[in-house]
Amino acid sequence: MKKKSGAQLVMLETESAGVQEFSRQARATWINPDSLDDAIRAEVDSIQVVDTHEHLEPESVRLGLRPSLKPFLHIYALSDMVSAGLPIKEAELFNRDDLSGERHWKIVRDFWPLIRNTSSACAVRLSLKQLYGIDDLRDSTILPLMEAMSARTSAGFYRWALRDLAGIECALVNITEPPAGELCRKSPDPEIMLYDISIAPLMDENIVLAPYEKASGIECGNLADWKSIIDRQFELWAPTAVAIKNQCAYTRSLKFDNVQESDAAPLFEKWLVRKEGATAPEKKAVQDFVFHHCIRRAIDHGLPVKIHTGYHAWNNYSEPSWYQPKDLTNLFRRYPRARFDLFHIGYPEQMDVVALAKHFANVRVDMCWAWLLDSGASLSFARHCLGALPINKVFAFGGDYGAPDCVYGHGRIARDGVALVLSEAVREGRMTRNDAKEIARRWLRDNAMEMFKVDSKRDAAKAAQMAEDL
Amino acid sequence: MTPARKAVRKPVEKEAKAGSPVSWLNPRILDPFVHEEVEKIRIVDTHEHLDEEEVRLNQPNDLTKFFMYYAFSDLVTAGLPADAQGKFFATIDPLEQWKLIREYWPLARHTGFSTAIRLSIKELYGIDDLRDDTIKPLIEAVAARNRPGVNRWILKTVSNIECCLVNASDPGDLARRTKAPGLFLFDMAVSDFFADKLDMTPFEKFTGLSCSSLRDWKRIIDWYFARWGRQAVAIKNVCAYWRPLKFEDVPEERASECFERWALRNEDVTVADRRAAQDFMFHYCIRRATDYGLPIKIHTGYFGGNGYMDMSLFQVKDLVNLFRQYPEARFVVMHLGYPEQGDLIALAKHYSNVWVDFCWGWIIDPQAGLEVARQALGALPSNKVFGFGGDYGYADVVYGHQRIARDGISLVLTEAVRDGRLSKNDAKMVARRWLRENAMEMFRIEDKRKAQAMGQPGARPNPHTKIG
Repeated sequence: MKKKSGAQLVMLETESAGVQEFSRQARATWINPDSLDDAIRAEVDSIQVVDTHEHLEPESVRLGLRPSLKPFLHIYALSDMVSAGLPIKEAELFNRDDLSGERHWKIVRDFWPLIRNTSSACAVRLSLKQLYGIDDLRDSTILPLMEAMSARTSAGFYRWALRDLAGIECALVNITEPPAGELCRKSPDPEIMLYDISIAPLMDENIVLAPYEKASGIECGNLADWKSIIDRQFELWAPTAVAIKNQCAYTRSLKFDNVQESDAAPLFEKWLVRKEGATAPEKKAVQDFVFHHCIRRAIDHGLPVKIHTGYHAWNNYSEPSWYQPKDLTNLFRRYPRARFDLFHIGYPEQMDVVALAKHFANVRVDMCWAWLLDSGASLSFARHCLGALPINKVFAFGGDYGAPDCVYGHGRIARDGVALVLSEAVREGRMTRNDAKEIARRWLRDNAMEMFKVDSKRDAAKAAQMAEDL
Repeated sequence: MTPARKAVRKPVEKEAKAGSPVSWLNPRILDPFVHEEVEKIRIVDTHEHLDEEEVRLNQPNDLTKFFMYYAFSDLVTAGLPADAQGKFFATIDPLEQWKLIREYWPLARHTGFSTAIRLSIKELYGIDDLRDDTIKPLIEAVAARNRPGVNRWILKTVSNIECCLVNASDPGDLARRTKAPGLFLFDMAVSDFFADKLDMTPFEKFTGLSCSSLRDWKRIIDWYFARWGRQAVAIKNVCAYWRPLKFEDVPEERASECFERWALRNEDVTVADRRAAQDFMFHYCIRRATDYGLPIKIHTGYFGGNGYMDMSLFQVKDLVNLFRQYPEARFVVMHLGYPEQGDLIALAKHYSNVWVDFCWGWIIDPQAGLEVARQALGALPSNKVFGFGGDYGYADVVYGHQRIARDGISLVLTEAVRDGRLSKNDAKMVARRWLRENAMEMFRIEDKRKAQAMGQPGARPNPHTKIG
């Protein structure tokens, strides 16, 4: 066992036999195992995690890309480097798919040392170590890393990275850009990837109706038609989808007023049918009505309602008034049968999220992305949850990546963080080891298995895949 | 005697004392000196809703006393179905109650609310947890203790509490005449003055004063201050449950006009007009409280219960105009303002007339309690914190809550001592201030006890007075 210095240690260790495949292998860890209760750590490491939120492209897309640093640094670590001073134009250049790893490194090499302490960079380092045996990004490691990635770029890469290494039972995927006219897609591998219905396109500032009309065969001349198109999408995808997902906090506030259909209908026609140029409040009124409609349909189809709350990815535009979790309370009151899943711990408003999930029976907290955003806040959040929330109200991990390469590192931080918080509770005498183990299983797996009906959705997706193959 | 009864016999007969073995935190992680000093402190419990003991003795012996405040809400948020919620409070059979909640207790037994129950039933009745096989022994153990003196046993003997500051009132009154003077001292509950549907009738009947103007209403308010001002420990406002904590300084002329349309003529006034009258009345109560030397307790933060919370109503920072306008008033900000506790620390640091009250805080979210204690230690003078208030209607669960508070404070002070930030004697002083001395001074406990001993107000001062 070779220890590195610093609070966030990257270590290699050999796991004892008897636990599952992924944890039998040598592992890079975030927190020094000596800081954790042995029994709790073993239990946490044995859990096949349900990863509640990813943006993973199908494996076939990934296999067509040349090896580069983009799977590791894209968005989160890159954003930290922009925050550290990397010029925006350089970041935009980095995002091109045709650059080599060496070219990528030239762009970021002066800024990587400034951010390698952050959680997003820590996930990169842990993943590099675990997937490719590379302990850090340096001039001397880029070429070996590219060679190691090339050697691994073959069919089965996703299962290896997600299941074998990261110990992921299943990833719940939110596709950022669904096929034209659709809100979801068929899973290329239902065993490991299930999908949300993405209602983000319905909240778009620039909706184009034509693709939806073409896909549904319904000509959209008014709000009633639009509802029919939405309803048809729900009927099509609900049997295999695990939830609906709304991420409109990137473009507007989370205050969804209860707009009457009679008020929304003429605004819809003005804005999207006659294209007369609607005002921002008029667009918001239509969006509000549509989201209420989607919540009602989600209730009808038994789908949880996932909502992006909190921090904005990327840099230099964030408007905190848009992402306030407490703006959602009218929805929590109005729809007691809906099941709301608040994403990203509402960071940095995570205390509001704890209070809301404690008070409202229909609100759950989701730590997806959170361990990357601010691992200190996530540890604190987990400690609050432990004392304030029933154990069935927390989902402790969602990677929130477009590529699987860093899921290991993020998952490692989440596992070690959960293990640390539970170890503290046991050592302080606040709970027994068995209680701690049960909570770990609930937070990392069982709650999500139940909430998102993973087994039945997977069966339905497999059946749909088989029917298509026939 | 059944084995189960035998098992509960010993703890029931035991006269528990400070430093008992039931603990929230493992005592081995605490500095022995700090731990011992904290255990010795006879706490001033700054906030309860406790009934008189005779009420408790005449109530059904069921699980309600453990769950009503507040663990039931955690069962609801864990998914307890609506029909089970209704049935729980409709039945008085504890075994039936347990059947309704038994699937949900394992999901919520780790929360602060539930931990207080587990610690309490362990210490008071020798039952380590709620299970199918422990409900009957628990109820039997409670029955064995349910006799005159049980409140004093729980609160003073077992929980080592000096006295409880109670927010409860007789009908038409603002406080309660008590059969436990010295143990129970009372706030003046002024919240009904700020009700959205102000019903003046009970106050008119009780005082014998009729109300046909804001000036009359002020006379009624004055009458209550004259009645309770010497014995009450504070005034208490809980209106954050139904309106924002932003109280504008409304001129009496405008308030009077709004009051007459809203409260006297029952006209359909705007929210702004109604709030103008409410705002004026709270400002008036603050001035009267200051005249009588009474602190002003204000509910801030989290709402008890489920499914209705509006976080815009309970923002601590909305109170700053009051802090500025009334430098002579003493504001006790309750419940840590949870989840806005960071704001509260900053306000209590900045304003010399603002105090932090942990009441309810340790069990809403024990981690928040620990974090506020750590912050308060470094940010606030040691005289600005009240470290414990149970906030219960039943004494039984007070034990568990104060256990969490004592252990939490011991832990935070232990950390400070071990880090070298505080000497052990300093830690002892801070603990004594937070758990006892600050409240003794602020609420003038000895003076109030003396006033109480000289005679409580009459039961019904003007029973035959005609109104109008």
